Amino acid sequence: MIDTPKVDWFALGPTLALLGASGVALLASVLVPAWMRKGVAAGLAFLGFALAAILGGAVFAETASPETTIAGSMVQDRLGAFAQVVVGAIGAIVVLVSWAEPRRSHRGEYYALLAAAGAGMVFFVTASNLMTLFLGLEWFSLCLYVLVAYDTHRARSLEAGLKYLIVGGFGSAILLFGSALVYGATGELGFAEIAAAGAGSDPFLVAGLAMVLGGLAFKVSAAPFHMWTPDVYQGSPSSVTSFMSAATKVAAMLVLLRVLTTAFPEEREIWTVAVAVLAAVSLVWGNLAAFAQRDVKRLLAFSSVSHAGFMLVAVAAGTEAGAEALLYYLVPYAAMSVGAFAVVAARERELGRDVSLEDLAGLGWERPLLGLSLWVFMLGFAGFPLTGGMFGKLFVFTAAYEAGDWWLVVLGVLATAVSIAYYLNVVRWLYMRTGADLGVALAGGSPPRDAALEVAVALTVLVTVGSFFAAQPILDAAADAARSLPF
Amino acid sequence: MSLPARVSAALAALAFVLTLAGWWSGSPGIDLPWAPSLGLRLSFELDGLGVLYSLLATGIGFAVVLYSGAYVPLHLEHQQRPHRDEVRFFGLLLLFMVSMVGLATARDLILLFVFWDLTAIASYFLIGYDRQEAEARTAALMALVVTGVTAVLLLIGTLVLYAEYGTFSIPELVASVEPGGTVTLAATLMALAGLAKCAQVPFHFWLPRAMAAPSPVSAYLHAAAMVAAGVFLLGRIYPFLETSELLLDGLVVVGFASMFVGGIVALTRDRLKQLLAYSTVSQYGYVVVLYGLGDTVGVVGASFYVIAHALAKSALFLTAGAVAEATGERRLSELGGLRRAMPALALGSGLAAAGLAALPLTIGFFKDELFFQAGVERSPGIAVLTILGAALTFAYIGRFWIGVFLGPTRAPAHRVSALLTGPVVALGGLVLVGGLLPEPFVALANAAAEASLGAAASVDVFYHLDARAENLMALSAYAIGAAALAAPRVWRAAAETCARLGERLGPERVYVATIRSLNETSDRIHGIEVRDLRTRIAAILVPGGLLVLLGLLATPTAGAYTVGSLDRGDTALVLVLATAALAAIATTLPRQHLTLLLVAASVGFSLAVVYAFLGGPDVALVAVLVETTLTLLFIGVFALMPRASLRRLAALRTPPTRRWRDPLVGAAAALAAFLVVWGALSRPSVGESVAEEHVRLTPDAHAKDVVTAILTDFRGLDTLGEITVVAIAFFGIATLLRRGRLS
Repeated sequence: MIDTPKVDWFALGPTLALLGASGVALLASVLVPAWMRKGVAAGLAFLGFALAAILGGAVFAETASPETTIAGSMVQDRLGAFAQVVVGAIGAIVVLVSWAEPRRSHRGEYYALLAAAGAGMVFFVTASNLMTLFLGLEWFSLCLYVLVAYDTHRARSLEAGLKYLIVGGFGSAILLFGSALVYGATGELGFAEIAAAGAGSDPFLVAGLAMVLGGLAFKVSAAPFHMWTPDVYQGSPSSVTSFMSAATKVAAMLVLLRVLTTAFPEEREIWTVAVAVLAAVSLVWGNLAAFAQRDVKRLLAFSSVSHAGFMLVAVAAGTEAGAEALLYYLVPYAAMSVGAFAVVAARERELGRDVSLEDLAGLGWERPLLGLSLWVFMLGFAGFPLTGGMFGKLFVFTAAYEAGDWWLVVLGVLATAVSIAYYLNVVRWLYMRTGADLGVALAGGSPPRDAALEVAVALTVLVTVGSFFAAQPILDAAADAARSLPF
Repeated sequence: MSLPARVSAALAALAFVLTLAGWWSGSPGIDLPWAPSLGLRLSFELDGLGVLYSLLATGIGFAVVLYSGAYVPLHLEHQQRPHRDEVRFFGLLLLFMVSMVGLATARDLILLFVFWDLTAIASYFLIGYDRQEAEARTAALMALVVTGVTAVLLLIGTLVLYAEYGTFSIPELVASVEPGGTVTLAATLMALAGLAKCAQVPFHFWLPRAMAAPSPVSAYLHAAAMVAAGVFLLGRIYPFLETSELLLDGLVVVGFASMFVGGIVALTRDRLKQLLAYSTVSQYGYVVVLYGLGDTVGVVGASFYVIAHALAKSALFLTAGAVAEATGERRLSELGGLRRAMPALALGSGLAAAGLAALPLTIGFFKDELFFQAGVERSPGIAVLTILGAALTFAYIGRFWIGVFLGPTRAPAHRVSALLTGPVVALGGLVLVGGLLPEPFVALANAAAEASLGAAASVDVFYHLDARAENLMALSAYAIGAAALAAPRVWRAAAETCARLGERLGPERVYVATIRSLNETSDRIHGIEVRDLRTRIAAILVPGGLLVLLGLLATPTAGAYTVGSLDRGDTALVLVLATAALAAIATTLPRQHLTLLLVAASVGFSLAVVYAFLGGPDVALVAVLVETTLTLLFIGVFALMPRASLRRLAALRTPPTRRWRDPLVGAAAALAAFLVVWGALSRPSVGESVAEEHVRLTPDAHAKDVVTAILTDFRGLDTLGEITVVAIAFFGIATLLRRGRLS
């Protein structure tokens, strides 16, 4: 008799929920009458994401200490569950954002792909060996390649998809090469086993670590691996951008943290320096590049690079406090990011073209909810109070300061200073001008109200502001999740 | 008055009364947990300092709201804006008031920061209230950028203290701080935030710009809210400040610099509000000096000064607004003789001006008395500077009031609402009351100082009719100030030069230049941000390579690379490998697509031969098969593509930058791959393999060959998964082809 690995269906729950939703949505896109395809598929995707978040919550509640499952290929712990809840929530909101997006064909398949990408992400965050890590990464990346290029009638979307595919292929290849080197050096694939192998300062292990770090830095769009970010964020359908900017970043950031702390604890001195350098480059480059952008999606893309920098500052601390700070940071960041792109998506649909800063003129007056929300998101990105962005920055800086990375704190302060100028510039356009001043005309008169999107935006505002007032529950969850990692 | 104005006025009055009642009943407070694991609490307490600034915020706020009730409708009418904009004005004003009260009573540094930024946000929208004017928009942004950026310093100072002492609570921190580098660093960062907010040199440039706001906003901003918040912070963190002598001395220097810069520029301004704005810079300079001089007299003096200044300055700003409303003129050179047309306003603002100029019988006399006293206690040099500062104040305020109300009538004034003059007269009256009955004001200042010092403060003020130092200093200040007023020709040119110099070299230039250079850098980055695919791939590979290189530099490599030996039997293998390498290099040369494809295929075929030599005929077969299929596929694609565009692409010349870059990237990649392969081959191979186990178990699985056993048994689940994937892929293809073609 051959021993078969035990399959823990509970731990796989979130992934299966989304995978099931995706599969059924795909079937529905073929079998269901055309007029209800979109509704059925969107509903299924929404349910899948919501169920994934709920199951993630259940895993979080039920898992006191980390356990590996399925022959050590994935781990059931609170860190992964935390990410699953966040990714599930992001996905559900993105389904709402996507609802009214003008799409010529394949309306149902879109949601199937979205759910499949989500399934990949919630699997990815539980990976506990290099093989499942790569599998999860490719799983959601392949879905995203297609989603980015989904607007086949827009040349820019196709271009972005192709660029993302090719450049992303290189990113994945680097990660795979790095994994092979690590395997070569230790003979192990599991994170804990790699750490236990004690290969110490084996050059192969270090080179592998560097390449794994590079591959993941690509996914979190940390500079200088961010070159794809502005083009892809700008070219993708805005709903896809909102999903990528939030969910991909959350998943990849957490996996980065997990890999570094569980597989390479011995090499902490090396990777903290490398991550600190990546953080510094992201902060400088992201903010400086964002400063003069006129296209709002591009501006937000560079802002997301700079936020990757802030998150990496927390990772570079290499402490439990740093992990907690990162986990907290991700919650308001994800909300603000989804929300900001959703507002841009709304404006894009109104105007029927890419949104530049000038196109935001008067949005604050014409659409009070969207304008006010974008205002909240910008202040949140800049770290102003009444948004979780402030606590995020505070915790990250505190972690870095306590870890002795005072130079990163100084850099972070300078970066924040620069960022305040361009975030406020967005607010200035929202309120200080009117569309009439600049002749911004709506495409085809006043568009119908998009209730789904407005609900989505309201929810993200709620999280952004709520994470400020109710910081404690999130902090508790973050602390519980961070405890799954060996510090 | 409109409904929003009435509601706001009622709320402000209520808040004022409640604050007074709270003070009376002895420092009530709220203390609720917020984020317990961080020790973060929603903790407010109405201590002396809190009472002082809350009373200012609500009391002056009340006067300003009443005034705005008449002013804002007129203002909107001039600008042809809808009346509903009024709601926004009062809403923001109330938000401002609430944030100010919150700031004043916060007992927790994080709460302090929260309200600190809220005042900045409220002020942003109030300064930019006239949003159709570019000047107002720029001013609003500048005010928020300067105060918002420096607010980050406050947050950093907070976290420095938190990292050291593990609490955000101000009373706990005050109880536990010990003089040292950490506290000095934190206090310096916080003080910088405060100085930027109260517009001290070199951060003062945003304040005169902010005069683009409507007059009541300016009055509120300068006297009771935004700018006052800066000195409030100094008062709140005074226990941290006083741990370092150097820091206090720094405050004295900054304070005097602001006093003189503000005062001299105020002497040269023609626009009423600009004059008053620079006078604010100068007046808060006094307060900063007083905090810097420290001790009981200094700290009480600072608090008292804030009260006196708030009453007088708000009255003067409201005067400026009323005058502009009545005459349509905003410049000193166009105004004069208004005492005839607006006697009540002349009286009210006269009292306020007298207060600022520190004439006896006004509350201002005592503010200067305390100022002189603190100066004398420190050193004769400081005392002289205090006299000069007071003389400057006398001169520019005299210039303001005389210029507007005395002399020949230049601009005719029409009647204005009593609401525009009433608050001015009331505030002016308070200035007088404070001069006659200073006790309640001094008590308030003492209470505030007690909160700063952490010890009882009981400074008292009286009129002393003798030749003591303070009185003589006051007299000399009047004399110098009056002389300056009488003979403007003497100093005018010099002051103008100073002001112009400031404009040319001042910090505003630095601000503008910073913004501009940031923009330029950003544009340059935008230019560097590559657009073609190759460079993008290089941008992944090069940093990746750098990371690896750094990692390798950090680890010892001794013994990692060994050189083996070759024997005669390897000759053929070496030859084939060399062929593969040559073919790989050759792929860089052809321009025609088909040639390129064939050369690339030859690399694959040479490698297939290598596999065959190394004893893997099946692998070699697969390689040949794959290579052939792919080559055919590519040929098919080329056949479908338009011939003309292929020819055009083939004819493109390589740009000169690429001629160097591509070989370099290629060489680096090759080197890295070489080192990795070399290193891998240098280590002993792992002996055990799962293959033998599979072969051994094959009979147990009732299979005749190992491949079958693997497919159907050992890896049966994988096979199932693959079948599922293929099925799903069919579905995917079916949906794509639904309409018979790719859409």
